[in-house]
Amino acid sequence: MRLRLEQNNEGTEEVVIRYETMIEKLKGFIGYIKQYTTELQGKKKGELYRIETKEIYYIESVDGKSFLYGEEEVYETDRTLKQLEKQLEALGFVRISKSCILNCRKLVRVKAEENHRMRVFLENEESLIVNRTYLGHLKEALKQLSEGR
Amino acid sequence: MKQFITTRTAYITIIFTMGILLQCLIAIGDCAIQQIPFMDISFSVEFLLQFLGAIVLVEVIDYFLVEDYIIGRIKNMKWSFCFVLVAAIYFPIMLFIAKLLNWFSFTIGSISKFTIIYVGITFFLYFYNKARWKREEKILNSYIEQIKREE
Repeated sequence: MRLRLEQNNEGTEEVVIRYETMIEKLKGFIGYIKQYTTELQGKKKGELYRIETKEIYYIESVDGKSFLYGEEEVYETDRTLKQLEKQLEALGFVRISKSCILNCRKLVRVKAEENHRMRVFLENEESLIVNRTYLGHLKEALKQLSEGR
Repeated sequence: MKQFITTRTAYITIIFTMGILLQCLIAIGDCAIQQIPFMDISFSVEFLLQFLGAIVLVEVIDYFLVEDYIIGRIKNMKWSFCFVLVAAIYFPIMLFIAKLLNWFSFTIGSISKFTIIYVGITFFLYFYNKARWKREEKILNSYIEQIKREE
């Protein structure tokens, strides 16, 4: 695989991937780049914001509303957890409980807890609980990301 | 932190609600093991073992049945409502177990023995799962390290 960097004067950044066959490694690259190109709309104090998915640490549903959690900020979104899960699964997001979707790329480490749960620590020093029903999903997602898929 | 407390408190609430529920059902029901008069609880070894047995029993049931379901439901609920909900969901299960004990005419002695067996099984499951969980932790951490390295 060759890497070619070109500078243009159009004022926009563009990533072009030329391929003959879509190999797993390439899918990994695409997933990584898509973090920067996929945006979600969120509301904070009545104002609308566009948030890059790489800025989102986790998404939680509380009382039927979905919230996007950044490093410190929280945005409300109109989309359901199910819709978000479907949209973001290729970008390294995975469901870790009935009400929470986690960005695996923001994980720092996991710790086994009592009562068959796993605690995950995020880059912003927050931690979340993964219950045993969803541990398989997390393991599979991490495995795929670590293999560059 | 908030989530940690929420899940833990819910878990303890479930276990104790169910344990107390089972004890009450046994105590007030038409059971052969009606050795715990409601107003005259003597803290004998058998009573303590039986109480422990009830707690362990419901913990095992809880493990295999509906813990995740309940915790998913009671999150963000008021605790007073949580108690009512847990009791309502577990009432039929506990009633069935109480009746089962009655049908088999368990005595204080046999209940105590079963309690010890329950405790034994629980301890075994606890240590077995702890070891398994630690292995899972190692695997997941190795994946995370790999991702970080590649990024």
